[in-house]
Amino acid sequence: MKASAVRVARPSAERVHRLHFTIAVFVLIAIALAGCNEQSSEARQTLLKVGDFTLIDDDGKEFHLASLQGKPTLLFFGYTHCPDACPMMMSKVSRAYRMVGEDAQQITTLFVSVDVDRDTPPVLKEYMSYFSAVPARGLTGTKEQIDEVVKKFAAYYEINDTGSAMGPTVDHTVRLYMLDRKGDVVVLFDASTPPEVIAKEMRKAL
Amino acid sequence: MRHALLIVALTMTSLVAAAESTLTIEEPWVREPNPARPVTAAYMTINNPTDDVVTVIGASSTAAEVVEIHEMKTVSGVMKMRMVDRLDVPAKSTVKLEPGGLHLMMIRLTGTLKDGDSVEIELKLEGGETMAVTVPVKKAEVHH
Repeated sequence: MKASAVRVARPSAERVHRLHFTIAVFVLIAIALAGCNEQSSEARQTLLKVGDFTLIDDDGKEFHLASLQGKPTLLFFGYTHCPDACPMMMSKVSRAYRMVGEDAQQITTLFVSVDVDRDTPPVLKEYMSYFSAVPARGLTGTKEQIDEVVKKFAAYYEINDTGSAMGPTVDHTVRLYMLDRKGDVVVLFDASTPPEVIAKEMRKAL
Repeated sequence: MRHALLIVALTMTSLVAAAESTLTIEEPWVREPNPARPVTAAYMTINNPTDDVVTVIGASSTAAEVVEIHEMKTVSGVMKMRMVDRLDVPAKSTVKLEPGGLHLMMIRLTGTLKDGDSVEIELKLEGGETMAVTVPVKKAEVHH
């Protein structure tokens, strides 16, 4: 018995044309979609151009913001005696990191202390080590250096002696800034932003 | 004999009355402190079922050297924290101590506190009454 010949479907000329046409359409759609994606990430407005700044990190070494260029960065201002707003912010950021997963480790979180007298590098180092899920660094400096950075970020702080046994309390704006790979501020979160939203923006930035 | 029994009965009643605090506390929790800083905040919902205002004028705890009542307020985007001398809980109402608002600040903690531990906080009320609350230590931010 002859094995039935495998029928080679020889495409007719017409079919070939249709195939090429279909491929071309797919390719065009793909290009269009890719273009759309690029547009949506480029369309992110720069909210603040902060340039570079120099502070002291929690190892006591000079830190330059420009050293983090090429990767997104999160930054907020606070102080270690803060019992409520700052731990809450760090806890939200930690949660967001866990939601994003391994990739999030590329994003550094900077905690800039506005309480230069009490938040020395060793204090900051120990404070930041508590947030093990987050590649975070504490930053401090002279009052002049901190004030300059606070101004760049349109933030505000004021140290007050309210008679508390804790010592001076620091009033401060509670905002989390996201900087893009170029080092410009592109997203602002506040105290009420849920971790899911932070995670979403982190994924977009990566 | 009857007098003695009466006295005992009255004493028992007054003891029970004193033990029955005027306020009820719900969902108390203390945020697990960062070991670098011996300061943390305690939160709870205070309910006053009585017909009169009840005022908390202070607090203490064996877990901290000092406990103060603090209030956080956001004024034009700036978060401010101020010590408060008295906390009125109006008649038949509830006051919530929660993140971003009122809290009991525990200052100079006497030991390490970890998630799962619990602390005793004593609320001092105007009029002399005190109220003991057992408060669990929690690491995570409580979502409402």
